Amino acid sequence: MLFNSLEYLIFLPVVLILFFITTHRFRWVILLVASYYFYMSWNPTYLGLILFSTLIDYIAGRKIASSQKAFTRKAFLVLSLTVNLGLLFFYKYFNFVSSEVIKVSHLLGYNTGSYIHQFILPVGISFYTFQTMSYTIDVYNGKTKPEKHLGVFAVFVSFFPQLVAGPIERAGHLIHQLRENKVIYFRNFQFGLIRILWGLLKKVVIADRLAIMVNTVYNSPDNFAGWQLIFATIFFAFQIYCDFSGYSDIAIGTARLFGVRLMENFRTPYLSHSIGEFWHRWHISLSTWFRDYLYIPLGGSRVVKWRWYYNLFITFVISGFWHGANWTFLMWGAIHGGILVGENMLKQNKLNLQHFPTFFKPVKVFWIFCLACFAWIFFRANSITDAFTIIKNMTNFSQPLADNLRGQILYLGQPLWRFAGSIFLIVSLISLEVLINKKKISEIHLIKQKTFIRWSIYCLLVTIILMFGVFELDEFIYFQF
Amino acid sequence: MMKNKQELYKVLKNGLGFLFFLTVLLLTFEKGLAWLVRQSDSGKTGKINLIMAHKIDPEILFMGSSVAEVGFNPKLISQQLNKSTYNAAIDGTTIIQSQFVINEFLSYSQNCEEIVIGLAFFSFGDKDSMTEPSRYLAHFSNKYTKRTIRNISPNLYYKLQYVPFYSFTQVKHTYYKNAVLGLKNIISGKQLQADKLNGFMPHNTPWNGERIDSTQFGNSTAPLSELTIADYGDIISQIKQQGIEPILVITPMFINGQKLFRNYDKYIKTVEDLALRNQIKLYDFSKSAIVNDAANFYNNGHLNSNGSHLFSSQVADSLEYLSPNNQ
Repeated sequence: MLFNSLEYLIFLPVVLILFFITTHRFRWVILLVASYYFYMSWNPTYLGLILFSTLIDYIAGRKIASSQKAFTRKAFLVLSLTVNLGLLFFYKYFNFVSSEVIKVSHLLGYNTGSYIHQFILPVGISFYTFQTMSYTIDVYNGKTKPEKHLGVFAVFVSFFPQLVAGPIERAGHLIHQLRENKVIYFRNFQFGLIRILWGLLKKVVIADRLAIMVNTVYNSPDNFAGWQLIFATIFFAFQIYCDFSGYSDIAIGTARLFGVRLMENFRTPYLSHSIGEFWHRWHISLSTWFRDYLYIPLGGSRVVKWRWYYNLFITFVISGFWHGANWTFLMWGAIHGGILVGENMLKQNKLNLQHFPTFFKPVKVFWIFCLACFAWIFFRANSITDAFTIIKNMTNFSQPLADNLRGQILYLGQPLWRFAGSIFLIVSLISLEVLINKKKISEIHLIKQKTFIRWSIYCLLVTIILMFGVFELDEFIYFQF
Repeated sequence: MMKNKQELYKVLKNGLGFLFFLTVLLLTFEKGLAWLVRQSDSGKTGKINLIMAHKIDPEILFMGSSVAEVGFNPKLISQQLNKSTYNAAIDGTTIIQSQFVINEFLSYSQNCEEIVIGLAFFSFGDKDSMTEPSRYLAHFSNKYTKRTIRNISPNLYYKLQYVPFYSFTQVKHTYYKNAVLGLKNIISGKQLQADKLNGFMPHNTPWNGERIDSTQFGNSTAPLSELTIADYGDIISQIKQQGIEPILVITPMFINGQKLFRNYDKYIKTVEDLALRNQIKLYDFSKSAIVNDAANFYNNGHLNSNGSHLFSSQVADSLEYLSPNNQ
């Protein structure tokens, strides 16, 4: 069930009504049934994985907290991590590692059999396994108390607004909210509705529209060159941003309807002045997860310089690999890690770009956007070879931006009005993001407006979504991770 | 508790109020747009509008998909036969998908004597989706339109019928463009009328006989669905019941294109059987001299202006030869 589907439009109000007419004591049942139904709408067979992961982490959390013996506590932590990482590895990385091992053994002259399994990647597995791992680690470190109520804990693992693509919540932030007696609060509905509409607009009007052109180019990169590849890459940068931040907005808005505040996942990332800042604004729930559970345990920055750079780099490489079992994601992570290491080296040598005067800021923003786009090439390309083909052909400007296909002038496979419309959408989005960044507009500003103005804006958003949305039900990009 | 009740009241009052406001606004917008689109006489939407508004009633009506749309030149045939003609064929749409247009036409036509149905190798494929809803959604309230959509795509029909404002998600920019053209017609006081070429859409692109890309007839088997053939039989019966003569025409296909199909002869035989079973006339142009020259086509299956001129003259000759006055 997609957020941008008719089914969800019916599902959400039904769950909301059931939630608020049920007494507080049993509301977790409504949320749990709704969440499992939501998950089963993709593939019912994989519900068993969530149940298994939930049960193991629930027991592990309780045992870690109740046991006084260091060995027992460590053993249950290892059990939780092994189960979650094992599930993740088996379903997400097994085929990749297996095929790479076979390739290497062939190179060495060994003829090994094929060990490819035919499982489909369970939706959201990377998200809920990371969420539950953070719970057991936090319990182990004494940062959070173990949840006694299995039902509430199960809702924490499977809360449907953020189950399949985050934000990856922390137990300390979410569980107590799920336990609270929620009352109907008008502000929550106002806030929730505006976030859902804004997220939907980003997804169906911008991301899915850009996807048509991006797919045309990236699925046959040999046929394109120069400006075509540059535009396709810029379009992908905005496609993935609108797709993922749109999903997060809908998740945050939906949760808010139930009185639950999820963490912000994006803060206008393309207005960053450095890659370091970019990662404070992009997929915040994941970057803070890697910071807290990988980078800091590795020693963070409180080690010798080379080790610090290594920590930074390896964190980003693993973060890249988290996105998918492909060398392209690994490369994407490595590029970001490499740039970040470079930025920190410059900082150490007093060559920090932040010391440049204010008028230089737009140039820095543009430069960081270019670097992010360069890394996106690897993220979106179907293979490493394709990525290098794109980079190579990008500087070949012998081909015009438009193609003439049997008398039809096409820009990235689309007529001029659609291409120009996409640029208009991107420029409009950037303008809004600048205003959001400067805190000139926000949900609060909108909520404080008079009823007629508010309703007119809501209606305008609905009309834009209906008129200009692409409704071929494309899945959200991050579902595949 | 009191505060909670106040909040609940606020949510209900504002929620229901907003829903009402939104519904009225979108309903007005949806109906207004549909009305404006119905005032357009441009392109394919215009063709459908003309018939749905009972604005044309020719003696000979041409139906079919793109092969008929670019093949039958009504003006030329009209001059030769001295009869009024109109080409109501719509590209990408077989007569199974545009059955509602035929049904509406049959419900009011007083003048029509013949409905000529242009056929191509793909005419008898299974039809489980409608092509470009933008062209006809303004007429969704029409009973024939509803019936056609329900028969071909029940899923689309139920969503359009029962999901509020679902039509918005199905239309393309052409729908809004037609709304603007309709508005222009209203402002200028222009009545719906047929275009200068009476629905004919000539194509002038030159072609040297090579296959251009795989999208053109990549499949080497002409689809021959029994269900679709039966549907053709039903449409033919309905036309006959109104006292109008249905005529089948196998439109010319470039000879090398015909050879791409393993079952092209079987397709011809299917059309012959259909004509024989329903006792109607059939003009077969699959072996006409036109098909031997690539200069008559703009791709394997579609005639260009030159080819359509030759084809239309020959169609007119055939219609003239077989008219009651000559028998």
